[in-house]
Amino acid sequence: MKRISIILYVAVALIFFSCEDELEQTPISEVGSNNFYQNESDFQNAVNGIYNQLMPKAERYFDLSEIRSDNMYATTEVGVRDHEEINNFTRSLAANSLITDTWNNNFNGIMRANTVLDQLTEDVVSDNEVRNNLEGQAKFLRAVYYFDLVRWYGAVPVFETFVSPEEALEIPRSNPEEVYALIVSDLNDAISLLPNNQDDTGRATSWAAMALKAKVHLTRSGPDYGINGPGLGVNEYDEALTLLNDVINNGPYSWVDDYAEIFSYNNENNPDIVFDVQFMGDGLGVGSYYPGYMAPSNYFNAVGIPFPGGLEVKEVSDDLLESYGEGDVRREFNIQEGYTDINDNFDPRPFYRKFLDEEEAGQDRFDWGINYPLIRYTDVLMMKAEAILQEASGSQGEVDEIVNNVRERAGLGPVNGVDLEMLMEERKREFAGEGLRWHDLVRSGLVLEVMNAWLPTEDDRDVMADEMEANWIIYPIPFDQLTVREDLYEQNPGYN
Amino acid sequence: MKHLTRKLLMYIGCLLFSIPILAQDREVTGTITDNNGVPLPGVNVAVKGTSVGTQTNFDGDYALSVSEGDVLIFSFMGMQTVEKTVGVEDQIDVVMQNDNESLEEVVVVGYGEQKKSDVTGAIVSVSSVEINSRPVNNAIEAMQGKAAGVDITTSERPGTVGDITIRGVRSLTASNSPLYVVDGIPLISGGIENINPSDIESIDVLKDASSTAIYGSRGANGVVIVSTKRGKEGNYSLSLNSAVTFQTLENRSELMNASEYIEFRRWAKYYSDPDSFPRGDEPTQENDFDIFLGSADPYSWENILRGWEGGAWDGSQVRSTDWTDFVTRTGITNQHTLSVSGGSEKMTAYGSFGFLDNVGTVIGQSYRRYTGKVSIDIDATDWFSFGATINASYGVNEYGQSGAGRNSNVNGEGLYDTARGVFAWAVPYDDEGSRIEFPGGDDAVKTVIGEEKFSQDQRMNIRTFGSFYSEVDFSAFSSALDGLRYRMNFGPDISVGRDGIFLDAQSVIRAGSSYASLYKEQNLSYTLDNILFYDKEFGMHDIGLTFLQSRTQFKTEFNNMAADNIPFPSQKWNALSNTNVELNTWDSGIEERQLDSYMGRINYGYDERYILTLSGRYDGASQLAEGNKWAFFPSMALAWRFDRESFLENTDWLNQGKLRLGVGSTGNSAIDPYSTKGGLIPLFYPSGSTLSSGTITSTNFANKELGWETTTQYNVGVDFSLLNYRISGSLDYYNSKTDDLLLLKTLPTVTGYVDTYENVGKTASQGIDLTLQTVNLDLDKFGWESTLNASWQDNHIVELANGTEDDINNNWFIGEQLGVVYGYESNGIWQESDAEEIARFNANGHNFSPGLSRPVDQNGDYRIDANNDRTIIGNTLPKYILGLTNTFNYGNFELSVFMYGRFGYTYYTEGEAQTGRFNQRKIDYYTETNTNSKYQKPIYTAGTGDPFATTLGYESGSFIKIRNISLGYNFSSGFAKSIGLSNIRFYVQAQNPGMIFSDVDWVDLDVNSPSWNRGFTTGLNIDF
Repeated sequence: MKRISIILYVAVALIFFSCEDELEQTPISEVGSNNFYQNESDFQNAVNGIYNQLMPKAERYFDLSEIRSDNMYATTEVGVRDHEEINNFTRSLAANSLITDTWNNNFNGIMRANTVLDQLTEDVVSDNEVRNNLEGQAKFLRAVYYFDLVRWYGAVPVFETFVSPEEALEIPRSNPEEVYALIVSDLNDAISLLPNNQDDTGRATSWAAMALKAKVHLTRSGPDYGINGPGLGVNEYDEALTLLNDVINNGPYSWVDDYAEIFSYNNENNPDIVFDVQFMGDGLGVGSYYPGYMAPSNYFNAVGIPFPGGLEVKEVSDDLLESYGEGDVRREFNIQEGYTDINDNFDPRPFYRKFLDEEEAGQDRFDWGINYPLIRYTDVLMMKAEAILQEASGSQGEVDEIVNNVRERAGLGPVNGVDLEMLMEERKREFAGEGLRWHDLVRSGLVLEVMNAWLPTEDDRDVMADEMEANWIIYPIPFDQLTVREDLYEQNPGYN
Repeated sequence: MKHLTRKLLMYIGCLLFSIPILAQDREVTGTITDNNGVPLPGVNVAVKGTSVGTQTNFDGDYALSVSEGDVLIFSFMGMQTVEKTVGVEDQIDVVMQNDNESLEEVVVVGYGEQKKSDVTGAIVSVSSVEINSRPVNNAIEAMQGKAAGVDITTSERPGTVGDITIRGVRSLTASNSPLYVVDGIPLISGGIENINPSDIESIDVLKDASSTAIYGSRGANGVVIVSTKRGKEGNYSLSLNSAVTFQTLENRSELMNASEYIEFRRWAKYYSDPDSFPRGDEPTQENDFDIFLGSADPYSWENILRGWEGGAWDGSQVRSTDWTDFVTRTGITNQHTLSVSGGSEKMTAYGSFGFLDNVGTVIGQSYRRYTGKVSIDIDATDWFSFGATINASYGVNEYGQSGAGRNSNVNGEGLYDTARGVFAWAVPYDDEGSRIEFPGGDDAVKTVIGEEKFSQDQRMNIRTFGSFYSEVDFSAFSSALDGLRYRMNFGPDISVGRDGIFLDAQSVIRAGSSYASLYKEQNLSYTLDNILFYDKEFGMHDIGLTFLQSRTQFKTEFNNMAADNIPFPSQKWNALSNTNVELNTWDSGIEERQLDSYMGRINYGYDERYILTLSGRYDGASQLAEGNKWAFFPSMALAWRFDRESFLENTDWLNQGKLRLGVGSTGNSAIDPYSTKGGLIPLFYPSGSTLSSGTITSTNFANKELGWETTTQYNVGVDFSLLNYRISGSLDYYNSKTDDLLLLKTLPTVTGYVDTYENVGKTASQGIDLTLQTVNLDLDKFGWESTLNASWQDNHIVELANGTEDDINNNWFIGEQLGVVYGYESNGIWQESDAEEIARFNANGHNFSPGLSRPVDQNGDYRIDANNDRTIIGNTLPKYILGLTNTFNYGNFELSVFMYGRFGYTYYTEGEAQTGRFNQRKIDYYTETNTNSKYQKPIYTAGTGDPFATTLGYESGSFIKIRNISLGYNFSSGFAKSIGLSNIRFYVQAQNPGMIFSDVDWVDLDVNSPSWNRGFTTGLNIDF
C-alpha cells in the first residue's frame, strides 16, 4: 500500500508539474497604451501624432479641390481611376475611396487631438506655458480637421472628447453652424494659448490660428446656395479683416520677391509660410508623395528618376493654362506643358510640376522632401483684399495694391479697379496646385457660374456632367458610413 | 529541483522493487502454421505475465523454457492470438487462424489510438503504402485525393506546399487550414513540408468535431495526425527508396505569335484613335513604325520590316521568339531515402536519412532538403517505457525571381510570367550580341535574358522537432491498478529561417538600382503533456479514461533589413553594413503565445456493440483578454456495431457494419497575440530638418472581448464491409455551424478608428463524404481494385458583422455561399445593331461602343453603377470533389491510375484587359471583321482598358484530371533472395499526364494556372 501511495504522489506531482498560470503575455515589441501619457514628453509625442495626420492632406487637396475645379480636366476615355469620378461629377461618388479616406483621415486627426485634450491636465504637465502650448496646438489642429470636414461634407458629427464606437452610434451629424461653433471656439483658444513664435519649426503659432480663423470667417460669410454646406451667408468680413490686419501688421511674415523661392526645396519655412505640412526626404519615411502625384510615371522614366509618379497624367485644364498672361512666370513654374518620353514620343498633355524638383528626388515616390503650404502670407494679403471687396471696410486702392504686388512678382503689369472676379482669377493663377481653388469658388459665390461656363468648353471627351448642381458643392457621406447604423446619417442630396 | 530529485529517487525505488524473478524449469518446442499448413516464421511466443518469450524461426519452429502451468501467448500480425496453458506435454503446435479484425488498421485518434472498429468519429486514414505509392515532395501532396472531404491544391513551386481544407471552408477572415499533429505533438507553426514522406507511417485525418474537440481551440478546421515510422520488433531491415523525376513546364494557354500580336496591336491602336491609325487589317509601314516603337528598339523593328519586304504586309515573314525558352528547363527531382529499422522485445528503433533535390522547371527555382530521423522506443522495465523521436531537416529553397523589391513600374510576377510578357515579335539581342534591355521598346517590358543572374531569393530553413515520452504502467505494481498508465509527452520544436534577396540593377523587376534584403526568423516552441490513461474491461463493459494537462509555449523572433544600391553585387545580402549602404528598412520583433489546457475523455464500450465517447477540453490562451481567456469544448459520440447484433451476425453479405453519431464543439484560434491590447504606434513628424518623434494609438480599435470562433458540428456516418470484404467504405453526413466568427467590423469612422475585430458572424455548412473501396476482380493472376473518394459540400453565411447586412466590399452575402463572385453580369459584346441602346446608356455618361463588353443593366435605368447593377454571378468553391484510383494487378505487375476532379463552381479568369500595350495570349477578340467573338475589342491604353472587360471572365469550372499513372513491377521473392535482397520493386510513373475534360480549356483548373509541370518518374524500392 505504501508503494502505491508513493507512486500516486509522483503521478500527481508530475501532473501539476507546470500549472502556474502564465497566460498573461505583454507585448514587448509594442509600447503599451496603459503606461503612456505620463509626462511632458509623452504629450509632446502625442501632439506630434496629431500633426502626422496632416501629411495625407496634400494629395486629398489635389483630388478634392484641384481636380473638382476648373483648374483641371483629369479624365481618360475609359474613366477608371477614382479621381475621375470626382472630376466628372459622378453621382455615385459615395463609395469613392478618396471621399472615404478624406472623411476617415480628418476624423482620425480629431480623435488624436481629443485623446490629448482629454488627458492633458495640470497633474501630468505642470508647467503652464508648456501645457498651454500643447493644448493650443491640439485645438488648432482639431479646428484644421473640422474646417476641412465642414467644407467637404457640410454637416458632420461634433465630438469634443474621445468617443467609443457605441457612443458614436448615438451621435448624429451637427449642422454647419454647430461645427463652426467648435472651430471658432478652438481657434479663439488657440490664439490665446499659442505663442507667437514656436521653438520647433512648422508648429502652429497664434498667427497661424488668426489667419485660419480669418479664413473661417470668410467661408462662413459665403452664400449658402440653398444647401447645408460651408457658407452660412453671415457677414463676418470685418472680423476677418481685423484678424488679417493683425497678422499683416504684427506678424513675422514678409513679402518674398521671387515666386519660385516660396516653393524651393532649399528655402523651406520662408517668410511667406504661415503654416505648412512638414516633410523630409532622405528615406526616413516622412517624405511626401504629392509633388509627383499629378505627373505620369513615364515622365519620371524619361527624366531618369527610377520610380513612377501618379501612373497616368492628371491634366491641367486649358482654361487655367490660357488664363496666364504673356510673361507670367507662374505658368512655367506651376505647369509642365508636355514632355518627350523615352521612345521619343512627345506627350503634349500639361500637368502640375509646382513642387517637383527632379534634382531632389528621394528614394522612392513617397520620399520628396518639400513641405506643403496650408496658409501663405500671400493668401493672407489676398484674403484681406477679398474681405474688402466683400463688405469689410477698406479702399479699392488697398485691394489694387495687393493684387498688383502679386502680379508684379509674377512678371505682369498692374491693373486697377480689381473686382471680386478679377481677384479670384488672380488667386487661381497664384495658388494653382495648392488645393485652394474649389474653396475660393464656393466662398466667393462664383462656383456655379464659373463651373457651368467652363464645363462645355473643356469637356472634349464628353465624360463630365452637363451641368453642375449646387448639391455638388459638398461631397457625399462615405457609403460604408451610412451603413454603420441605419438612419444615423442621411446622405447629402444629389448623391443617390 | 528538489521535486525533481525526489521524483528521480521514486523511479529508482520502483525499479528496484518491481522486477519479478521467475523460475524456468523445462523446455517446450513446437511448430506454428497457418490454416493452410504453411509454417509461420516470426510468430511471437511469450509467457503470459512475464517478459520471457521468443519468436519462431524460418520454419515456424520455436523453443522456450517454461514451467508447468504457465500460459503461452502466440501472436502474429493478422492472426488471431492464441493462448495455451503448459501441461505435461513437451510439444505445443498451433494452427493460427486469420483474424480479419486485427488485420484492420489501428487509428490514431489524438492522445491515443483505437482499433478502427471502435472509432466513433469521422476519421480517414492514409497508410504508408498509399503515401509511398507515388513519389511526392511532402506529406500534403501524399494525401491528395486519398481522403474524402480533404481538398488539396497543388503547388508547383519547389519547396512549397499546397493549400488544404477539410470539409470546406467555414471561416471568413481566420485560417481554414487544419491543425497538424506529428507524433502526438501539435505543430504550432507550419512545418509539415519538413518531414520526409518516406518516414511517414500513417496519416489520420480527424474530420468531424466529435473527434477534433479534444484539440479544443485548435480543432475547428480538422486535425491531420502524422505518425512517423518507428522500429518494429523482429528482424532488422534496411530499405532504400529512390526516385528520379523529370519534369517539363506545360502551358495550356498559347500566346499570340509575332504576326498575330502585330495585327492585334494594330487593331488596338485603331480602336484607341481611329482618326490617326488605320484598321488592323489595313496596315501601313509608316504607322507600324509608330505603333511598334521603331525608334525605341530598331532591332525588333527590323523584324517587323521583314513582313513589309514584299511591299504588301506578309505577317508570316516575321520571326517569333518564344521568350519562355530563356527561363525554362527540364526539371529533375532526385529523392533518396535510406532507412533502417528493427529491434528486440525491449527496444526498437528506426532511423533514416533522406535527400531531396528538386530542380524546378523555371530557371532559378530549386529546393534541396536533407532530412534525418531517429526514433527509439525502450521498454526499460515492465512498468516503465521511454521513447524519443527526432525529425531534423535542412532545406534551401531557391525561390527564383523575388517579388520583394519589385519596382511597381514593371510588369509580371515571377520569372515565367515575366517572360510570357515579352513580345514574340521583339528580338532578344542586338547586332553586337548584347541583350536588348526593353525588347519591343516599351519601358514597362524588360528582357528576361540573364535574369537568373540578376535576381535571387534564397530561403534557408533548419527545423528540428522532437517527441519524447516516458510512460509508467501501474499495473506492474498492483493488480488493483491494472489498466492505469501515466505518460508524459514533451515536444520541442526549433526552427531557424533565413530569407536573403538580391536584385541586381539589371534585373527585369528593378529600374536602375540594385536591392538586397535579409530576413531572419527563429521560432522556439514546446508542448508538455501530462496524461493519465485508465483502460479496463469489466465483463461486457470496456472502459477507457484519459485525462490531460498540457501546456504549449511559442516564441518567435525576427529581424529584417533592406537597402538599395548595393556596392558589390557579389556581396548580395551579406554585407548590409552602415559603411556600405544606407538601410531603408530595418526592424525586429518578438511574439509570444501560450496555451494551457485540460482535457478529459471517457470511452465506454458495451459488448463491443455499443461504444460511447465523451470528451471535454478546457483551453486558456494568452492572446485573449482577462476574463475571456478560457473556453470549453465538449463532444459526444456514439457508435453501434450492428454487425455484432445477433440478427446480422451470421449473414454472409455483411462483414462489418457500424453506425456513428457524433456532435462536438471546436474552436479556431485565429486571434493574433496582443490584438486585445491597445498599443501605441510610434511615428515621426518632421520639424524643419529635424525628425521629431510622435505616437498615436493603434489604428485597429482593440477589442478586449475577443474570443475563439466556435464550430458545432453534427456527424452521422456508417462504416461497412460487404461481400467478404469485396466492398468496404464509409459514408458520412455532417452539418456544422460556426458562431462568433472573427470579423473585421466597420466602425463609425468618426471615432477615428476604421474597424475592429469582433466575434459577430455565423456560417453554416453541410456535406457528404464517401469513401469506397472495391475489389472488382480477384482472379488468380489478375486483380482490379478501385478506391473512390467523393465529397459534396455546401455552405452559406448566416450572419455578418452588421447583423443581416451584406458586406459587399468583401463579397459576403447573407444566405449565400462563402466565396461568391459578385460583379456585373455579362450580356456579351455590344454590336453595331445595338446603336440605339448604346445611345441611351451614353446619354447617362457611359462610353459604350460596338465591340466593348456589355454588362447587364439589372435595374434597367440605363446606368451601370456599382450600387444597383452588380449581382452574384457564381461561387468559386467546388461543390463536388472526386478522387478515383484504379489499381490493376497482373502477376508481378501493378498498374495504378489516379484521377482527380472538382465540379460545380465558377472560375474567374478576370477577363482580358486587351490594352494592346502588353503581350497577349491567343484569344478570340472583336474586330470589325470578327464581330461574333468571345472577347471585346482591343483598345490601346497605358491604363486598364475596357472597364467591363471582367464581365467576360466568368467561366464555369469543372474538370477531371489524370494526376498520376504508375506502373510497378515487384520482383519475385525468389529472385530477390537470389541477389541477397528481401524485396525489390521497380516503377515508372507519369505525373499530370493530362486532363480528361476541363471547362476552361486554357487553364489547368487543378493548379488554377495555365501552366503546370508534367513529370516522368522512375523509382526503385529495395529492402535488404
